[in-house]
Amino acid sequence: MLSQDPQFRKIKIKARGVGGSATYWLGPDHLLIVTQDGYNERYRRIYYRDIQAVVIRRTSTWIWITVVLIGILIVMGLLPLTSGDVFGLWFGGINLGIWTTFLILHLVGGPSCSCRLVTAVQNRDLPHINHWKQASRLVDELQAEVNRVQRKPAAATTPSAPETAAPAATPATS
Amino acid sequence: MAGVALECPSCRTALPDGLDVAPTVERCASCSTRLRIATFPALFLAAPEAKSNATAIESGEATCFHHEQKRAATSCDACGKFLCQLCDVEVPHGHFCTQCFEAGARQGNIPEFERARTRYDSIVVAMVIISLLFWFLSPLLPLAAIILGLAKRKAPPSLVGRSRLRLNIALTFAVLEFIGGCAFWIAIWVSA
Repeated sequence: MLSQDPQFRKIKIKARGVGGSATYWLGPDHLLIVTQDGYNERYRRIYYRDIQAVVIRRTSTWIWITVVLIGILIVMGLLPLTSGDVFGLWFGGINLGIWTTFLILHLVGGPSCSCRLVTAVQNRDLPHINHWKQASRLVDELQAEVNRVQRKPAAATTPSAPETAAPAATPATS
Repeated sequence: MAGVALECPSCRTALPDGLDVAPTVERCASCSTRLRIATFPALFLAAPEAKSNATAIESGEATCFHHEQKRAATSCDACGKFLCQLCDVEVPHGHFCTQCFEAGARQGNIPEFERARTRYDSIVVAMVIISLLFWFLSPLLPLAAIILGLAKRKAPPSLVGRSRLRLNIALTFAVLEFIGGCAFWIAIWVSA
């Protein structure tokens, strides 16, 4: 298991999305992206020496979801409360509590974004990185490792390899 | 700055050349999308020279397995064939010919090339839970879960945080469900 491998460190971000999730691991010389969708687990390895840039782009999804949640909150929570009867009070109160919780959780998550990793040969969107906070944390953690590798003297570096899809840890480590 | 080709992911407009290695938060000049850009030294390096395919050989020199007119630069770590620079697929911990690289990626027998694993433990757990919900099928679905779990018991588990313990627990529950289901249907059959 990667969590027991001292060469790997997990980046502590919640990368979840529709139909799957992803975990990001900092290896000795590469970033390992493990995506889980259904009953499959896929591995993608990107070497630090090949990473040229990471671009985080703010998206409007966060605003639209906020608008929708406020709309639901008003229709399902506040309007029944104004009806005055007992059923309306109960129905509205419960819905108000549920949808306010959803709204608060959504607001705490922060603005949405997409995160793109740039190498010499491709631009790759990082899977399930949907919030600016997560992406910023990923960049902060990645930056130290990439700079450590890329700022080495040229003689110490090896020629650039194509991006390969593979876990660094062998099955023997699990 | 030669070769720098960063562009806005939203409108594909080229980002300004004044990017530094320090991360910056700015807006795209074209679409005003807010961006955070972290650049690394590799962005500012010149592109590496392409591998030469014109290496001539002299008599008595080792040649590439696939190209008799080219000098061998290395050998495949998997099959041992001599390879020229053009045929060499270099990975951080070795050199492979294109056939072994492809076979390794497809079969997953070289850990470096493994792309995916199937989480059989999750499948068995799902079958155990479904058989609880559709209890009238209980002898069949747990039996399928037991067969699958035992057949794939030695398959490599997930790399991230799931151990074989999960599969063993699911198998235990599947056995209990199978026994319970069989007992239920035997009781029905006897009473009928």
